[in-house]
Amino acid sequence: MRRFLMAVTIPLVRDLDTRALPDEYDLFIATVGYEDRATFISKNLSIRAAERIAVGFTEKHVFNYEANRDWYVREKYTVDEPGEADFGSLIRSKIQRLGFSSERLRLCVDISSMTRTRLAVLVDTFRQMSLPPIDAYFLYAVAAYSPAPKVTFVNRHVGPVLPSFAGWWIHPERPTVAVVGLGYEQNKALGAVEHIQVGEVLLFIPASSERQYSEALELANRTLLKEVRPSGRFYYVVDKPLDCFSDLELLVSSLLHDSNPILLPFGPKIFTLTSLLVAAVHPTAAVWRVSGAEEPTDRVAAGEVTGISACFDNPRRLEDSPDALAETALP
Amino acid sequence: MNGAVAPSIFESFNARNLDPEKVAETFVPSKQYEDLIKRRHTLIVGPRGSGKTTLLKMLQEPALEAWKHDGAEYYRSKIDFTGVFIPTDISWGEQLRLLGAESLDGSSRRLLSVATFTTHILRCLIRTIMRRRDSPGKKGMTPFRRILLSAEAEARLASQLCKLWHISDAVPSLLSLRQALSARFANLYSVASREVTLGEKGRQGRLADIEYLHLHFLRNAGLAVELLDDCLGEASGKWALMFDELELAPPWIQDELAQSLRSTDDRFLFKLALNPFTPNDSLLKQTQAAPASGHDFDQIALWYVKKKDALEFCRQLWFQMLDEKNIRRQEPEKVFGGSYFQTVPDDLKESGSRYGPHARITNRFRALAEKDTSFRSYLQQNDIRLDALDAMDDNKRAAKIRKIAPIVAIREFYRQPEVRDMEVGAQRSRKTAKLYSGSESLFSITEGNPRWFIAIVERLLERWDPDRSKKIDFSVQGEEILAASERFQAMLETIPIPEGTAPDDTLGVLSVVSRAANFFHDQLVKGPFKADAWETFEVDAKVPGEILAGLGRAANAGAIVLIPDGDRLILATERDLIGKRFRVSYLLAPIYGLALRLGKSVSLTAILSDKKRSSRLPPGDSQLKIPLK
Repeated sequence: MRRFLMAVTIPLVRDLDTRALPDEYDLFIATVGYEDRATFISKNLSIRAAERIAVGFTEKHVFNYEANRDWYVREKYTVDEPGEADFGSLIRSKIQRLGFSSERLRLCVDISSMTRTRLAVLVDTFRQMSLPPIDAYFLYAVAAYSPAPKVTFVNRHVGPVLPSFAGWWIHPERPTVAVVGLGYEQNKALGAVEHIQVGEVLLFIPASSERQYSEALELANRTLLKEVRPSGRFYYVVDKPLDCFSDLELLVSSLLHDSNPILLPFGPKIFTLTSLLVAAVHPTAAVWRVSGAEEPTDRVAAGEVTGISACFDNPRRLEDSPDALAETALP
Repeated sequence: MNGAVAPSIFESFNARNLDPEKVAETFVPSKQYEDLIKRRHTLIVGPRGSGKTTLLKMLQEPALEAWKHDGAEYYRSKIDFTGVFIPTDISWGEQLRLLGAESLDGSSRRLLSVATFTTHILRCLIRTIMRRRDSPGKKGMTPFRRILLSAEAEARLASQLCKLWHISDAVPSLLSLRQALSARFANLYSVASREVTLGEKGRQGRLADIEYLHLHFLRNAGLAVELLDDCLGEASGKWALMFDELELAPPWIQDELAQSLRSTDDRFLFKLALNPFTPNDSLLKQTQAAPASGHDFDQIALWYVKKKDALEFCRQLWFQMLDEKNIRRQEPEKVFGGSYFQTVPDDLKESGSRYGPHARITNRFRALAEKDTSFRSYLQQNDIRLDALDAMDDNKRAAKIRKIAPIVAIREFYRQPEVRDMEVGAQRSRKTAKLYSGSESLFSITEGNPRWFIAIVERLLERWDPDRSKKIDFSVQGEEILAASERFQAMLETIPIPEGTAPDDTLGVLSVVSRAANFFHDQLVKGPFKADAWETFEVDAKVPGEILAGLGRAANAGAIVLIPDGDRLILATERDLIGKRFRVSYLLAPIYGLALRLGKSVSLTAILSDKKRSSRLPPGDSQLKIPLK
């Protein structure tokens, strides 16, 4: 499997009005997860697609997992439970097969219960598929508040989410800047920025109308929040992912002139997706993940669905990327 | 970063993010610096934040020129080489490690990442030459090892180097050469990308045809120096290649460097900064094998085993920070007050003796005796009368009283709900941090680690009005101490265990340290009183390999501190941990409730097999709930 440094597509990211979604897709990718919300979009948005797949997992069959799988089977989805190493090839084979009969693919993805690594594999796969062009519609069911999972914090991985999201510093001696999407796991973001030994931290904070969530977030990140100047805090609204993408993209673009940015997306998955899309636009920026053994937490959909779309067209080599050229010209 | 605002806590934390001139503002020369400036190959060994980067940056010309310390002139006169600082960091190390991962074969990946590192080294060298050539930018700088390079000579040098380094599209200037090397970074990424796309067939030939991929860093650095000497018409002197955080570079780059250490090119010195423990023993073998006559390495340890050794360094750093902020020098005791563990001078004024019937220490002993039968027994068995401490023979008092005073302080503190001078009803964590306030404790907690010291003291100075000459409140000190401890703890929790190891939560870095710290606290506070409390552990032969790996990482992070045994070599692989003795970092003392002292040693197996001790912190807010089991 070629995972790194292919001639990649720079996506064009657009707003997505979830009240006016396309009538039909070539492929709908859902997730068989243990969360209650894993079927929320499939149940409520009546998505029509030539092929509908629900991808499960080989482990953590807890909470609603069996019920969700049964539901997808009943609804005639193709249910598959690949190992983590096989997820990318499963998606690639589906796309390749559909690509034979279509000039342009329209894909819909429910990212609500997808793992961050799979999300990265997905974005990476889309940007590496040279033909046909892909219009990806990412949907996300906002979760109702539930207490933070117990993180046992024996981390297995602190590093790029995938090798292809490691970024590439033209000037390694420049300061590393962490752009952190805050989540509510106790001091997880703080530990990550300390571990990386960053020179500066900028925070993306989800603005939530759920008082409990805001309080939990603030409590879990109290020490980190104290260290970051107000000018280094950006607030985003979960149901306005394009605004979040625009702010993040602008920030990363500016940071690349004099520093080395690492995106650390904790918190809502929509921020992880946004980070991956920004890194797809700026391949020299990095996206990292910190994965510890977390106690599974059931999450219920709050009822609101949001989304963002990305068009993966016109493959370009990295040397054609404006970033690479601009950075190279810097003294 | 943009903007003219004061550096953030993260910037001021880490010398890596500071310009050499900025590092010079607070730099205090130490014995280690004295050793480092010798014309010798040197291994600088220390955990994170112990000042490795600071020391190396202070061998750079811009730092030496900007340095205004009283001793600066002396050091400038002693340093007879030019330092070329070659930084690495975690994220860049990951990029090199992952270049072509899962797509390219091992030898191609090695070739590309070594070529990237070589490009980095050559660019650092060019940057250093440019700095020696440039005129001092600011007033008040003292020129150091400047060279006079005419425009013609520079053009000749740049042209020759471009030819040697296979650069075809640069104008003949050092600036253009440096930019061309930057462009090569982007190009290396493209080469890797292209090779992934083109596949394995014909790859060997394609890569062999790219000439710059095969440059050897030391040979080419040597050629650059030789050409510079020719252009100058005189020798430019020795050059020190200073590799920072070398353990973060991929192993094959470490191997490459290890091979280069056998070079007999006497124009170069190597100054290598590393963690105390490394999984890669090739570098270790090379540096310890004294490969060629006169090429053996000096080793410099950057940590302090005993707190008194760190205190003087901290005191000097404190004065330097005041100078840098144009604050009148004041003794740290005047600003931070006396430590809870110290005998306060007021006792002498009030009771005429440090050991009088109403002296602080006597009161503390009495308070503990009232609520601790095992301590009462100890006093009786040792014939210690609290109403007659000041009448004791001084030797006996040293052996019987002073020795146990820190244990009594900790034990008495945790065994009672309130403490003198501290508000009733305060939350326990706040009180706990206050326990470690006061100049001596505050300085001890930083372990003489400049990054920790600067991080805590910088914040305290921001909250202090020197004109009012008032002490910084204990609760303010406590807050900053606790925040620093929490940052450190969060970092320890984040260090990953290697993938593929068993899913056992005892393997995390903090887990082992936490077990040891809880064990020490319990027998300090909960068990029967012991004058010789265990406060260090020895790694015995029964400790499993996975735990050894975790301990190595803990030592590299500074969570445990090696107590060296004589003059044995400092740098070691993880298997050499067996037989070594450690204490828990004092920066964790406010979280676990430990005394700031060395104590008796217990085997690590005894600690790990004590099932009563939890390796985990309690769930919830650790700022509010101190893990006292």
